[in-house]
Amino acid sequence: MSGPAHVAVLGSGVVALSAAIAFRRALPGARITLIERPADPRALLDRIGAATLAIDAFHRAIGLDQQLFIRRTGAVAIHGVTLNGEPIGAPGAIAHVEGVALHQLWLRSLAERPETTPGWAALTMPGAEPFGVRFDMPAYAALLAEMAAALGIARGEADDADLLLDCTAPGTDWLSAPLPSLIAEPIAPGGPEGETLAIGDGAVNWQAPPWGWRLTRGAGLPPGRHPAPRSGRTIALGEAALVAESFDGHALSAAHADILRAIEFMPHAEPSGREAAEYNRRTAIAHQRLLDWATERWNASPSEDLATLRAGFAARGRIPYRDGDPVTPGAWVGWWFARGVRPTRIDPTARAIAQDQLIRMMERNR
Amino acid sequence: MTDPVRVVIVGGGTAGWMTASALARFLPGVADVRLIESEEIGIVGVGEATLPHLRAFLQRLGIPEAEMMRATNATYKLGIDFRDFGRIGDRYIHPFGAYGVDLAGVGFHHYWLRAQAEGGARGIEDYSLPIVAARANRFALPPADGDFLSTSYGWAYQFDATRLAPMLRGYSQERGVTRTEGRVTAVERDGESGDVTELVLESGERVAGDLFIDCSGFRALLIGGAMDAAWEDWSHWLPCDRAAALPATAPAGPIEPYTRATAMGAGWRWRIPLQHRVGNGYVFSSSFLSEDEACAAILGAVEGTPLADPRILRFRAGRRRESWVGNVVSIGLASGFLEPLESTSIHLAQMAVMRLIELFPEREIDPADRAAFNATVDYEYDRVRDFLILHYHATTRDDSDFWNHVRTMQLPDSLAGKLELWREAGRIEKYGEGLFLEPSWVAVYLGQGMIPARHDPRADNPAPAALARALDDIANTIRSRVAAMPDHEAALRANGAWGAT
Repeated sequence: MSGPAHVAVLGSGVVALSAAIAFRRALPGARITLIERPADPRALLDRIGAATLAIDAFHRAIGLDQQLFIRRTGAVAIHGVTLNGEPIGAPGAIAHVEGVALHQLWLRSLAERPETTPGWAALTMPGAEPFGVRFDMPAYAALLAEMAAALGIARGEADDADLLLDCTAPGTDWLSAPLPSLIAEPIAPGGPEGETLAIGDGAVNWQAPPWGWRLTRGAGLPPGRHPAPRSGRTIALGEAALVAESFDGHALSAAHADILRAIEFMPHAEPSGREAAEYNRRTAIAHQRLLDWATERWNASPSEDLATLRAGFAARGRIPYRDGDPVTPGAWVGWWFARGVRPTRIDPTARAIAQDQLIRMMERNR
Repeated sequence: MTDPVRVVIVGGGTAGWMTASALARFLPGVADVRLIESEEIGIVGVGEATLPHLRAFLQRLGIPEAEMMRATNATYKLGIDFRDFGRIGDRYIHPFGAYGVDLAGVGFHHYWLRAQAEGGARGIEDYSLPIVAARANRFALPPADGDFLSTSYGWAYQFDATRLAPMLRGYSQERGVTRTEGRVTAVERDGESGDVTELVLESGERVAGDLFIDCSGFRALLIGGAMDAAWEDWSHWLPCDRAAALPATAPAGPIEPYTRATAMGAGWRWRIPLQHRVGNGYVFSSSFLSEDEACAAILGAVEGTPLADPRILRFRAGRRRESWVGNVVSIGLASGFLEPLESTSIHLAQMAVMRLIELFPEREIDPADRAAFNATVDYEYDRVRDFLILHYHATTRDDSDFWNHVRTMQLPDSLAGKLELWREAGRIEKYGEGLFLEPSWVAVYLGQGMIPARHDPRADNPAPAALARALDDIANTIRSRVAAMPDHEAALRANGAWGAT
């Protein structure tokens, strides 16, 4: 076997358990040891049961039955989200009609016939994929712990590991992001109609059917990312690699994506420095995109990339392809529209569609 | 309604008419398009082979594939057969498709590397459906409801490029594009902004516009002339700067559904089989070979009867530092040139056209749109460049000064990093946009003899017998599916693509 014979996982939360299970599946011949360390009390990943739809693929990868997950954690799919009462449009890819992005056609219709143009959410939500899933986090952690035990993952110390997965909290090597440090306190759960976000006074009330959380500024984990999460024989995962809470489940899904990427770039017993560099390059792209997304959601000071993205959208509704962005174009556009951003110009591609065709298209969805 | 933007395209070659067609199709009423071309100036007709991406372009224009193929005497293309690149006598196909099937989320080539090291694998080509089909001169369109293996490939075309532009000209003119016959003799610019305002034609006619598209080929009349956009020269990495082109009759025998690229003493030669003839040419470096010697070499190498004297084309590898300057956008050879080793020229024009439509300006051009366009063009060219350099660098050939030069030259950092990643770990650097995905890099690396030090450790998971069975299943399935495919010429006829005039 050319891979690590012994993988040690440092931590005790959902990321550590998930990583241990995922590596168990990927390396059936290796020994996996969970080195338990108490969770950082500031950690949010172990408290807020929220993920994007990417959790489905992660569960397939680790062999966790979706029905079992739903039954044990009370997971619900979120089909509607409001932001301060304004419904948010569908996430996912943006539909194209005759090669023209739907949001560009909608903007033109809104400019030409504001009274008869349906809302962006009303236009995009029917038949769209859910925003994500919300579930009971303690139940999820218990389910993963059972799974880890059933798969023979030992708990204890491991001095002879070939690979260490650090699933704890940010260390000294850290690139801080200009985002608020957050604490979460439980509030009343949301109603069955969907998820609500209430933003004001620098805090967010996030209420979904299974739970409610109030996120406020406080002595939480430092937002930012690890500059080189894979180094030597160690890979930092979860909040040891990225802290970027965007109150929509991307935080946990980012940890899942990191685990899958760590497996995709499975280190050899003698790790390659160039391979580590490639892993870090791709991780940095994904992490910076998520920090940009959290920055947008918290209305914080944007990176140059985010400023360019915002400007392009504000000018002509442009939403370019962004390499490695876990946030879908639909999520970006839906957020901006719900926040009232309206591009200055109607995109020329939208102007090329015949007006009667545009009217029919909008009326079908009213 | 805003007044249409007056677009003036200079040059009626492949890039010019592709641009006109796309603007007419996607921006009717928004762009008022006029194209100036001169019949006295010939079409270079960049490349006679394409990449699969052209299919999507034609589909979006609504041009039926069979109609285009009949008009251009096109054949199907499943890949490129590289000969003598890694070392003399070597041969491999860079296919438009995958190798094998990824197993348990691990790329197929990692399993192949393991099996190869253990002495239990066939050649990698036996696990690629497009390669096995190409070698058997067979072709079929992938079935709409097929499994991964039977849909694991794309196809492109080998065609008479000089016939594509006239076809797109008809298409454009039907959709309102105005064609003006004439030569541009002067370019008027705004004293303050430097933008082009009018073109003066030989006839004295003045053509005003808001946006000017330079498709004038190597002459780069506007972008290189009036706007004087700087040129980034890459000839130190890609020293070939001439081609001796020679059409010939098709030899007896089947029409190959692939292009051949055979390494020569000072470059390489192409062989592109069309329905009615075979295109040949020797791409060479004039620092290592004279034009006369190249003409003699290509005359000596062609298989059929030459249909003309060899024609010399002159070029240099590189691109504009900015392809869009002021209100002038360059598309095609005016924007940059990379030798046709991987048939990328038409694709690079197509990419620029589609990006221009995405960023199409109002009369007042937003500098951010210009910057976004230029950034895209830059990385598309840069990625193709690195891939081309790899073909020259990954060699053990030491039989000529040319090969000694390219084998030992300093590489761009971007390529050096990719090579190191492959050598150390058998992995391909991934990027979201731009040409050449994992199978293409794997094809050239393995085809040119670069076996990495390691493979993905997860490829060691299956027991040896189980892995051998899985590999055999893939190769046998491919063999039987290819055996059921029709011969290439029969497929052309059955699909209504046979023009042969």
